[in-house]
Amino acid sequence: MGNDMSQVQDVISRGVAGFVPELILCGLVCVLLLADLFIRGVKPRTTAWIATLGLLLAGIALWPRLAASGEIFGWMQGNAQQGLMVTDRFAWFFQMFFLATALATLPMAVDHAAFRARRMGEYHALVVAATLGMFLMAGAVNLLVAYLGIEFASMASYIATAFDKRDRRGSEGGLKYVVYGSVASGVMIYGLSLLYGMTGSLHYGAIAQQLQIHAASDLGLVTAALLVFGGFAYKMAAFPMHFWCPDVYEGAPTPFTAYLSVASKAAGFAIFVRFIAAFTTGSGPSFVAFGTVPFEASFGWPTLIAAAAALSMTVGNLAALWQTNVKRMLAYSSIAQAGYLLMAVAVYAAGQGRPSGGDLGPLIFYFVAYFFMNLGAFHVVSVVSSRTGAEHVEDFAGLGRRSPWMAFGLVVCLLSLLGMPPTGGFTGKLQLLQAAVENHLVWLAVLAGINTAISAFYYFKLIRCMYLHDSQAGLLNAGTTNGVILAVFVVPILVLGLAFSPFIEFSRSFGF
Amino acid sequence: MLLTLAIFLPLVGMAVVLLLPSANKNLIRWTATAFAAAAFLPIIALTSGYGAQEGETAEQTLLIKRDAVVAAAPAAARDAILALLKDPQKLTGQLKAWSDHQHGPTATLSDDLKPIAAVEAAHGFASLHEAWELTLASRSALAKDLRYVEYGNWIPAFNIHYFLASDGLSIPLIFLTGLLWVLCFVYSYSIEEGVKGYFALFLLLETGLLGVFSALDFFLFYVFWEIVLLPMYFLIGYWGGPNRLYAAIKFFIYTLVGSVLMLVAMLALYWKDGMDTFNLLTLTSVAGGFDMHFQMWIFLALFMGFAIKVPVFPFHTWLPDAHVQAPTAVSVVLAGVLLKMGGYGFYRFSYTLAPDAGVSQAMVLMIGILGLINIVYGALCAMAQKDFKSLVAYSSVSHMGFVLLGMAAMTTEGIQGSVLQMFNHGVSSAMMFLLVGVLYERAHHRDLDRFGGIGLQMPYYTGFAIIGFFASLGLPGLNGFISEALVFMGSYNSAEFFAGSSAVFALPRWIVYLALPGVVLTAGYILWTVQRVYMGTAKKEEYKTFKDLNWREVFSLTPLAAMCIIFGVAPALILDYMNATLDHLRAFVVSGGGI
Repeated sequence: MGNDMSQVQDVISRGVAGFVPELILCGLVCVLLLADLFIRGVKPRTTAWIATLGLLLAGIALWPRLAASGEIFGWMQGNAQQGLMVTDRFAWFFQMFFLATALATLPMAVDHAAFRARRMGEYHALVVAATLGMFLMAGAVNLLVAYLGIEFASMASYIATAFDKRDRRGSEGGLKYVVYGSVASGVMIYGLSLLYGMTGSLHYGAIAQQLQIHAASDLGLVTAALLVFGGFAYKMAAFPMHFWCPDVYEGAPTPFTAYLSVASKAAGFAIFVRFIAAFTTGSGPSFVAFGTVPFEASFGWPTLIAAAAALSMTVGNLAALWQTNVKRMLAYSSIAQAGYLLMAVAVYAAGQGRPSGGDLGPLIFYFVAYFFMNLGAFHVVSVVSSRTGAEHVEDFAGLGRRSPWMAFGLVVCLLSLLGMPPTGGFTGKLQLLQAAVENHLVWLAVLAGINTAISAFYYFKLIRCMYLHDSQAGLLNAGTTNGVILAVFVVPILVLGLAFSPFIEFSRSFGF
Repeated sequence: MLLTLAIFLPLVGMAVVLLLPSANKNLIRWTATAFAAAAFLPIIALTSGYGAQEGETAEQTLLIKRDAVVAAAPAAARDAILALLKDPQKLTGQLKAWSDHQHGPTATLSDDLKPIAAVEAAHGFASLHEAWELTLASRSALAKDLRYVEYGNWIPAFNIHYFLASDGLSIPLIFLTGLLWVLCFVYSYSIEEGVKGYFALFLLLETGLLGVFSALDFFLFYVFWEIVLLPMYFLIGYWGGPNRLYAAIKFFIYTLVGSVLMLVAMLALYWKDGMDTFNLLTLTSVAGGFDMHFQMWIFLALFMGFAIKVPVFPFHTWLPDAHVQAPTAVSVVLAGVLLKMGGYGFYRFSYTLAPDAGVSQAMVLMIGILGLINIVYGALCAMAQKDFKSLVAYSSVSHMGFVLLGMAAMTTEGIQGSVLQMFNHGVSSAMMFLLVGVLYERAHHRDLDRFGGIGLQMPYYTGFAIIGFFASLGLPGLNGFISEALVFMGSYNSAEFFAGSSAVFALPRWIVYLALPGVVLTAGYILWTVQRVYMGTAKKEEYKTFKDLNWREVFSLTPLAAMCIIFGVAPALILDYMNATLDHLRAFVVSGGGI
């Protein structure tokens, strides 16, 4: 008894020592809420500064984890590793990614008209809370922590979507998000419970080991896999759980849409890839390879993911063609982007049986490019909608004349999303296609190519509107700050398109 | 240096033009023209230098680069690399086995691969790979004719290099590009709206085109190819005619679909046999060994990309819209140079990367028949047009059919005629579009039925028009005749030449017989048009105010008219450039890639 207690104390103290960034984020949420309440005459910018400082602090605390490896809140049970979360390069990359996204969308939020003259502390607290949930998602190796992370991030997102009480679409989006998210969570937890029931353990490694030793029923495995995939697909906004995406993106305040479209998607991919890594060879982070591969043999993860990729791309692109609201269009575009990214995951899952393992380089490279191009696009949309109050494609008419730099920045971001050289989106997509072709998924590469051509229609609808249609509206003053921020997004897109060699090694190094 | 200078001067020009104040239109026009002329100077140097056989061939330059790469390799790996390079063909097989080993399940290293493993351990694999690429590239059949090589590292992680060179196939097209840009810029002085954007986009377009014609690294080629798309979209979409938005997006999507298929082919070639190279010359030196199944897929994928550009029936439907809606100068470059991207792509990439597939029965018949359809159908459509520009657009479709016919024939005259037709069409079609533009600027309509008696009002203009239209018709004495005659001779001879050949399928004679009426049809619509527009005794009231050509128009038309006559009377001037290159290319394809 005493032994167990001291062991538990040991685990907790070591765990807390390694959990500092997350604790800082927790503290930040509280500070923001209290600041909002107690600082007299607090302006929107004050809480934004507090949030910035807090996020930077969390980033500094996170930095040393790059070299660390091993589990937080982990312990040995017999000779099997058990634990809640893991720290490795993969988790570190995504956690930094979430912090960067939160920081990048802060200026958008401060500038946005929907938020002005309102207490912003709650909003920033929600974004930080969502980030914290995503931290858990990126590092989770325990079924419950995975679920907890998803729920935490989702809950914060539900509220932040409906943040603008005066906007009916916001409330509608929030409600749809809650309902859909709850159903997806329910589906997922049922799948997770099946996995627990079959193996008696919550830890990925232990579950994988159990599945190796005792052949589980095929039906049980397939059901669990499909249900769990449903939950992950919801977070990734991939087919078949993408239906919430357009309504939520349209209803949420644009800065939060930007955050969702990048961070939430990345979190979904992070947790999904880690899950795949654990259950296809059992050789995920800090696990020892267990030999042959039963899970893959009994259920074709690569096929399922490839099918989801193909359908996400196609459905996303085809639906986007009909949209007139820019945010809905970008939402469907992000569904299609999830499809392209799933190509890399399918290749990774298929490559797991080989000694060299799967290569996550293309996925990580594309996420870096996606960060810049999607946030850049949403930045311009946010600035325009905040100044003119409208979000339809027609409202962008004549932007080339009314605000040349904003329009140019948006063109570069849209071309990058389309995948035209010389942008980072092209080089990223090239690597995704290359991975597909090299792993005998040529049909998927061809489909991705055709989808790229289809997507040109709606990206160019916006570009055409900006330059080739005109409106009577006057000049739009975006302000130099917004211009500088846009440059911060646009320049890396071009760098990633023209001089991307160092980033290849960089992105490969963050794989498992 | 010359090629890089020619390609990037327009890009620098674009940046400069963008910084100029929008109000000062003349400054913008002159600056843009100055940059186009500045880009034309290295091109002239290139052309004359190539004619005089100056400079090193690619074979020599690449070997020098290879030696430099080996010298720069880590010392521990150098000897092993040199030993491995002694037998490049064997090294190709070893690299394939090495790549399989990297991706495959075998854990033990066969003896074959031990030297490579040693090189890898000494951090010399990148040098070994590049040295292998360069060795094979220097042995490619194309290397003897390429000159003005520029080679440098760009993206080492993917073995992408900055690799430019030019030979008899590309230099006429590069020359045409440089010349047409200067002429078009001078012609475009009449554009009044959005002058800055117009010239900036046009300069970017020049960079893209010159890059397409010089790039020998597949990735670099693809980047330049895509760079051409965006300026064209805006040039058609902003400065074009009433239906410009439809035409612009149609052009863009059509070309993009073709490009992505080309991209998949590019990736398939990169991955093939673990070669991991985008270097065209390296790929061509091993292409003969690819199995027929793979070659067919590559040929078809590349065909899609290039056929849309040529344009080949039935992928030609973007052309009438784009040509008619685009402003005059843009139509000129579209017809004069952009269509040639497709033909160039066929010769440079399709046939060299899939030689056996290119001369197989299915492909020869397909290209021959499609060429035939282009010629005859294009001519018939042209005859039916009421809009002057639309007629010229369909005549472009028809003339590009000759390019396909000569290509399918694969005889010496056929290929020479085909490539010469690309150049000649660039000259005569450009001239025709300029002529239409001159008339449109004065009449503000292009309705053929309303014209008549222009010759009486604008005699000098009619003189140029006669030269341009008759060159397009193929009148002996003007350049069009030479290329059409060569194409017919070559395609007729194909049956006899390849009679006993098992590798090459000869173009059936019936295709040639059916294409011959195309000449009559061409004569038909051109003569009818000339008669409708320029002839006639009545000098219509509405045309009394038309002034004859001003200096800008004379400046644009004269060089083209001169070229029509000169290359009609002395075609050897240009054929001499192309002969050696095309002969070697033809021998390479016909022999199945030399393997």
